[in-house]
Amino acid sequence: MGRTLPSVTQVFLHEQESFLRFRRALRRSDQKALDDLFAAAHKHLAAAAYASHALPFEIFLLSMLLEEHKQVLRMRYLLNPSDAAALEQLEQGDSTAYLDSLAAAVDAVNPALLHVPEDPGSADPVEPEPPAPPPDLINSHD
Amino acid sequence: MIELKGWLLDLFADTQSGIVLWLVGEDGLRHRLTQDFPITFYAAGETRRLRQLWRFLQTQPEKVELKRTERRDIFLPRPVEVLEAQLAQTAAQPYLFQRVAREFPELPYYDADLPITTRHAAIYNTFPLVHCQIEADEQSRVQALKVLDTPWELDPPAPPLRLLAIEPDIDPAHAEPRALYVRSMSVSYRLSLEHPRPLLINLRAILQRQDPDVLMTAWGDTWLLPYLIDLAEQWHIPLPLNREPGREVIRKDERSYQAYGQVIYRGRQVHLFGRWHIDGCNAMLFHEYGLEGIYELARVTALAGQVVARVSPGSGISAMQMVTALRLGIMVPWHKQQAERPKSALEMMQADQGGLVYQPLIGLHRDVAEVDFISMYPSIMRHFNISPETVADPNAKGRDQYARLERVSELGLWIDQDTSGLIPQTLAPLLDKRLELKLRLAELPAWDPRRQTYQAQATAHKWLLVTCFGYLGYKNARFGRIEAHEAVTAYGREMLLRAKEAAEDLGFTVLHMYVDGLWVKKKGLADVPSFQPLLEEITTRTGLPIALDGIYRWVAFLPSRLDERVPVPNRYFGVFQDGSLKMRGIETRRHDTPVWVSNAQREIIDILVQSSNVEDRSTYLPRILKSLRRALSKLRTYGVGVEDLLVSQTLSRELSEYRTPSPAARAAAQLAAVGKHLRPGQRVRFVYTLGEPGVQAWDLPQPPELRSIDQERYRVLLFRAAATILQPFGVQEEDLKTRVLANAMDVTFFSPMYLKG
Amino acid sequence: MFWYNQNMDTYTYLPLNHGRNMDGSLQLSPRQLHLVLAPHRAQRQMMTVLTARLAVTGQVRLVDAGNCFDGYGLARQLRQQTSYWQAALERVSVARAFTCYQVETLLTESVSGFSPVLVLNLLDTFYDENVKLSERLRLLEVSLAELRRLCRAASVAVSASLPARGQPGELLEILAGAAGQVWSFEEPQPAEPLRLF
Repeated sequence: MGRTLPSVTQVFLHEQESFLRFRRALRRSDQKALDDLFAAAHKHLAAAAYASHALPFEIFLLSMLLEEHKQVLRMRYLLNPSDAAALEQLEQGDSTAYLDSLAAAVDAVNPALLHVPEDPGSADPVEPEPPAPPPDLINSHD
Repeated sequence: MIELKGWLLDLFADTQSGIVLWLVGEDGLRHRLTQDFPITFYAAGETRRLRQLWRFLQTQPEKVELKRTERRDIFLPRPVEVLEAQLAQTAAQPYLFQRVAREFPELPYYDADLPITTRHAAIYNTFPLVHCQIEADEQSRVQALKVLDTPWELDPPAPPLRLLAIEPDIDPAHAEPRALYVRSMSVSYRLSLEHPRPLLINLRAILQRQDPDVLMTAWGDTWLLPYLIDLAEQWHIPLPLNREPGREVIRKDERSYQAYGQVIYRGRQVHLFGRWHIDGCNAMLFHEYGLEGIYELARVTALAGQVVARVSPGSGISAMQMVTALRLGIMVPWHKQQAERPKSALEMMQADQGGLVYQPLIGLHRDVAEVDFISMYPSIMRHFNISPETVADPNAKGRDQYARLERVSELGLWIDQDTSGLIPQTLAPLLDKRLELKLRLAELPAWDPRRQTYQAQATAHKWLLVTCFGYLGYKNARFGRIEAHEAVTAYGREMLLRAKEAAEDLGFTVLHMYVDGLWVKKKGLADVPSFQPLLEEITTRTGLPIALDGIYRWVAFLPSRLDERVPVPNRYFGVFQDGSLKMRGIETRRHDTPVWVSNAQREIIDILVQSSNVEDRSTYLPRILKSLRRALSKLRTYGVGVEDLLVSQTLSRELSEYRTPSPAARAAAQLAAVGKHLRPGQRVRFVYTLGEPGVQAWDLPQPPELRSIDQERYRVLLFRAAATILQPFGVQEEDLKTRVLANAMDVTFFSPMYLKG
Repeated sequence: MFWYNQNMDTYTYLPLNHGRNMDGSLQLSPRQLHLVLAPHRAQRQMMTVLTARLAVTGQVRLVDAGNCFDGYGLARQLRQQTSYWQAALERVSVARAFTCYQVETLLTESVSGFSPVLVLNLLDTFYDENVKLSERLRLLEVSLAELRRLCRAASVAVSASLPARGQPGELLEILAGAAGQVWSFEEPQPAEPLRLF
């Protein structure tokens, strides 16, 4: 009763529709990537609603960025398979434990991850191990 | 002086003055009593107009006592000057008021159109089925009345009500009934409808002999009683449907109206005097709580049984508020006058929201606890003292004028904590009883006969409580106030977030949240006691009661049908540790799903539930494929009855308003062509048929034939329903179809399962 | 469409062109009761644009009588017009009326002031058949009297749509009769398809 403003889902759909012309002119493969972005933003509608921002699209953009960053973090950990446990927790939505382990990993003996060697030859001879097979737990929205 | 003890069955205005009460006596007799009962109503407004009203009232045929006085309007800070009008002729008050309102339409009126039972409850603390003690004189006029119980007791001594059930042998909308079944505790008859005279004579005898307190019927409102009444008139054999002599039954017309965002249809009604007529097919939510639920609603709302059975829960809540208001000396406004206070556009965006609804983590999850706030919104109203009159506007009065103000989270709203609000006072006893009942139910063994009664009562309470929040913001609610409604949702969002924070602080993963509940899990935790600390922490941080709904062995959150990546908040199914199922939003829960599809989906779920290892597809998939093949084969060989293929959809508007008719509209058109006109809000039942128009209505004189069924349409529905369930287990719809139709038993074909551990 | 109204200074009939910014035609004169007559969507859009334009430079009072306040649309409009769009948004005050009784109460309780008053979809609640027509007419007359009062100090603009099939036309007639300036927007007729034969 008394709901005047559209729900966050309606606002989201409205925003998505306003980009249809842009989408149409993209290549098919790019369209899929764009759809991924919107699907990603869709995961955080509740927080967007709670934010009560007058310009909701800014929050949707932030949500897209959030999910993109999670992908980056995921990939960083894939390159370092010993952190598969932390990755699993990330997948399960438990970002607290995950972030702790991220901080711990940075503190631990791996400055080479962040260090840009001046002389390519003197860099840590870290041969990237073949990425471990993705755990059977990867979320469907990858 | 006679002293009587018994239970109040009915109460209504007498023809001349005062009221009539029907008592189910402890002595086994039914007593008719009368009581003086003057009615008072008030008018406020411009003094000049009130003087004119005074003169007008003096010219009216009814004898009216007039007075100038001051009374409380809940929305105003100080008492209002009003004209008080009192008349002894109880039955005449509505007609007098009608004339007054026509002559002086602009004046605010109070206590003008209240149910008699509500007024009586406010003065004497009575309610339908109350156990009471009455002193009456020789002419059965009540001299003193004392109530012996309250609506809030769990096991009041039950009145020995006599029930009589009458129903036709078939749904009159579907075909012409041939006979009536008449049953009571002791007797059972079948009366043929082909011979009206013996039917009427027998029925009259039965009614006189059985003298029921409650007449239960099927289609009694919409067909049976109007039919019998007409028949009785035709044959000059009057039926004593009323217990009260010399009265016609009350008849109300059917109507369709807009409420809560949808079209609701109410069939016509027949009310009796001196006994209750309950039509199981026209009673609101009857399938939810049955007759016991109606008894409970009548007690708790103080509305007559026949009324409360047919009105929406909102009217029940409204009646409860009225009783509280009257007892507190607050006038009940005739019309909702209150309007919203202006807010800035920014404040509007913050306030105009509902509960927090999350997007769940899609897929299958194990050992998940569902934790729910108990009656969240009503608890919030009570705990934070939210009521139309407690929502303070500091700008209007200045903050220092209020003794204690609480700010509602981030909104520009403050709640006055000084005096207990009307709404919290109304809800408190109901919330307490609900809690007590829940505890009692948890303690009772499964075989205890009281379970059914308690369950029905609990359901009735649930509906009232669920409605009271919406009612707070309802545009026509007399004590509604949109700011109060917004304060409640704001607190709701705040408390849910605090619960989430509590869970995360304690190391839980929050899988999903929905307005007043969370789904959480933590590795290694799978038994009830291990969630206790979480419950305590949440109660500490929120001040609201919260309970563990159950622990799922596994639960699957489903994605959108359109896009698998997109989570949907209200589609899931799971099995609790005790083996019970919980399902939301899937086909088997929906009204419009045919029984054949619904059963097939249930069977798949049952197979999953019975599987010992939900991670190993070979333990259940072959059985599921077999079950689907069986269902399809039955359809193909015309082994599925037409009733099991019925689709039931609601007509959303008048037939003429459809631009492109939906299947329901096309079926309704077929019915209209044979004279069966359906109103918006009514359900249409039909099957999908081959060729044009693609549907055939169920209630036509010629029922649909199996050979004309569009089997492909149903196959599509079946596969969709099966895919809904199997998708979280890694089975896609196309794969499923191939496997089922190809008859192969290979289960390794499917994509990896989305098991979350 | 034309109503005869002695007080009416101007009556403007304009075809709706969804592509063009129609806002230019809606210039409010002081102490005037203006009526914007258009189909629902167009009405909502125009009033949002008008609100935004007014909010850039001062307070605006909105009475939402049709549950159609477009908060997000307003925010978008303001962002396009000024970098201080949040401050502008705070200058817009909104009060909603969900029944015709509430419309009357809201207008009666509105304090006379200098900031413009915009009433969105005034007639929406007056088409509710659950209230007797005589009562609705009475409430409308009172509401219009209040609007005239507000007009004495500020500009007032009211939006409304043509009645749908089955709805009484007299409500709109009374409203149009009270307005000093009427802008009526109608959908342009679809062009006749060219025929070869």
